[in-house]
Amino acid sequence: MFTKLTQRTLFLFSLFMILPKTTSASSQPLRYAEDRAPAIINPIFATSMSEARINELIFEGLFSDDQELRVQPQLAQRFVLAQDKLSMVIHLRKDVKWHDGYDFTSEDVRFTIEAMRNKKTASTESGRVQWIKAVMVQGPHTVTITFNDQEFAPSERLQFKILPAHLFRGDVASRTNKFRNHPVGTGPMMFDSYNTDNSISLRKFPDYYGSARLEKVVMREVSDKNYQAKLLAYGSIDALVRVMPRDLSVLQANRNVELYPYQTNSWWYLGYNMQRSFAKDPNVRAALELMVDRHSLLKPIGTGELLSGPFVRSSPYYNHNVSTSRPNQSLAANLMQEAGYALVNNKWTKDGEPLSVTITTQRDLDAALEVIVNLQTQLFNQGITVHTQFYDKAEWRAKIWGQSDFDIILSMWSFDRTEDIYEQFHSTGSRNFGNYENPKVDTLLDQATSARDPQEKRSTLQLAHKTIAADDPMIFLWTLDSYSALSTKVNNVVIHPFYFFTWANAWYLQ
Amino acid sequence: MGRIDSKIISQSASVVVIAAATLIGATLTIETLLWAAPGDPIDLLPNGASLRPILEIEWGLDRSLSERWWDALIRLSKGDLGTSMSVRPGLDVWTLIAAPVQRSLLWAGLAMVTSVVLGLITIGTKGTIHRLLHVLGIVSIAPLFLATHMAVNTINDITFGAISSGYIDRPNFFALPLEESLVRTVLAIFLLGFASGNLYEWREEIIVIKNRIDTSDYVMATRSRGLPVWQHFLYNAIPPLASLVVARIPLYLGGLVILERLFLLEGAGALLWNAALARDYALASGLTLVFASFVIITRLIASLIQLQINPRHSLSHASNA
Repeated sequence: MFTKLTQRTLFLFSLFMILPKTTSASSQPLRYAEDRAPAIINPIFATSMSEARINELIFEGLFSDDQELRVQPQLAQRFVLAQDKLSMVIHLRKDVKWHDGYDFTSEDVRFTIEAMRNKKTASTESGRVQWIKAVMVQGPHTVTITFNDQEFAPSERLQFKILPAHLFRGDVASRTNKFRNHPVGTGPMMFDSYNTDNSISLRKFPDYYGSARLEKVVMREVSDKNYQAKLLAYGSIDALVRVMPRDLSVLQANRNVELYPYQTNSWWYLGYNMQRSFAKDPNVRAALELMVDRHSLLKPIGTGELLSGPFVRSSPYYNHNVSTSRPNQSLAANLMQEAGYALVNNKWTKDGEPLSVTITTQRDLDAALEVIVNLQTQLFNQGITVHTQFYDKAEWRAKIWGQSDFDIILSMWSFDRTEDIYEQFHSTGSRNFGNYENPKVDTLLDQATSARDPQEKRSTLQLAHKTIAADDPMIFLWTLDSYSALSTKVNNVVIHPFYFFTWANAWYLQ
Repeated sequence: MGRIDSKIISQSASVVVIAAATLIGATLTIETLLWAAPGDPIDLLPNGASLRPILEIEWGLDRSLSERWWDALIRLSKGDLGTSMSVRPGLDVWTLIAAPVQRSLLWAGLAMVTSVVLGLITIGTKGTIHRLLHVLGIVSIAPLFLATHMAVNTINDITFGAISSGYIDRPNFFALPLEESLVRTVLAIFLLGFASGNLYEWREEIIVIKNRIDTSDYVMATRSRGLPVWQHFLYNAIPPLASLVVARIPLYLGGLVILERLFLLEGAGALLWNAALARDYALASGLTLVFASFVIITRLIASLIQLQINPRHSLSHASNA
């Protein structure tokens, strides 16, 4: 039926399909997966961790973390903090070039700060510069920054990424600027291309002032998390930023994969809407906490540490004198009775109404479904009817953040190095959508914000931990052990717990 | 002939008017749905609350639904689909969707052809192959997402096993669906044409058409003269097949939304999904409009084909078939 020519053509075509591509190890890219590709590569418009991670490769800040998580100069060479702590003079590195060949100067620093402060820019990172009063160029590589208030460690707050002033006009950066198609930074990797499969390719910046060993990096969008671990096991990607708990055992057994544990400042919680009638009663809140068996909820989804307050256990602000509660059904029952409830047909009932709550969570919160289902069972067995609701991100922001329309939420907070819980627990906090109010906590958080002595801040926040824990505005659940997974081909790996790629310039592929 | 030409022109005009009304209706529908969905693109920003006063004005979200819809119509009349708000902030929607739409339409078209060809094959065979294809038709009822997961996992596991055992070298397509390859694209097109009952329904419809044509007078007369009937079959099958194609296009386009996400294909379906999640009003409207336009154009083409083959049908009758 087929001519010989057709047969030979088909044979050669199939060989092309099957034969593997061979490239040298050094020119192979480091391929990593993200749930969602970055929408925009411009650090002042970053809205997601995938954007923050890729920005870490392309852009740099005046300061950054070293591997001990201490602040060190990056684009800055040295700085002098004024005695009155109201200003600092920063001397910049003189050997830094932008990816397009321009020299990095103090004008870039001035522009970045002004653009972030400019309301017309509508930067998502504008909060990072609100503490800056003014920035003045003193020379091509010298800049003076003045602060609104005294700052004792301003370098910690100057880790935001710097943009090239020569690619923008005036002091406004716009989302529509053509910079979005060709981002330019000073980092070890430079932008190469947006690809048709929604991947992003980066290549080594040949004129990087420091050392960088990776030749290429490719970000692949793999929206289905079920595939990510498998693709790593297959060798189709080289790095997985965060391993799902259910994939840990599979990857642990794989000789070609290495797991890297890291500590994050993130914790899970069940948050009450304090304006709901059931939540207003402290006895009910205390009873619910005693009904929840957190060990049983945690076990199916991974390992971690139970918490008693709004910090991770390794945090200097965590109050270890506040113990985590253990399930106690009889004590919980006593508290419910004190709150005026009675068990009717195995349901806690008050004024003829059985207690029924809705627990809301985010659809894309890993393992939330397992937790919420198990929690529903636990509470149902103890006389409380639980309904569940799952929101996507936009719904969550609108209904929970915007309208506080919920009974109880299951969610997670992630914090950077500052672990600033002001917005979550201060009565005026922008993320206090549970409507929690305690003047004493307000005072403590105000004191912590203005504290310049680290010891003073530590003791203040530990007291805040104790006070908040006593109020039960949330059931503090746990912090999960986090793991990244990389192919054993990737060497010299040290991972930043928040940004992942901060020290990637030392990684290399074997 | 002159009467038929003027008839075609007047009926074409009415079809165009209906098409325009359909596009306007599609625009209104998608704008309303997005407006009704909780949250907007500003909610997705970390400091959305503080940026809202500025961005609402910049993105036109401070205006009422009717004002926004009217603005959208004015922009559309000038060929401007707007700017993406949250999926690719700042990028022109036309630029963003041009290539993905072309890819998606190609995949949907090829999937449709696959379904039709497989359907024709199943009725053209006999014996064991016919029974096998009949079973395949029943299997095709499996939902698309399930069929995709099974196919991808099975192929990957078998291939990985063969690679690990040293039987084969790592093929270019491995591992599905990450690597861009012909295997991935062909598998995706096949599954779209096969699963969610597509093959089964096409097969059943083609059998009905075949039986109707087989029992028609002209076919029986031709057969009685000992002449081949396949030309008659094909010629008379085209109008009902064209109607079926037009009726099923929206299903294939809808299936693309699932398929492109599962296969990591960068098409318009995956883009529409992301636009909905990210409340990117301009992008979602633009994609809906393009898809609606495509459906209308294909209906018009099918109508003209039917009219050409059988001038006794009116254009409006053919387009509504």
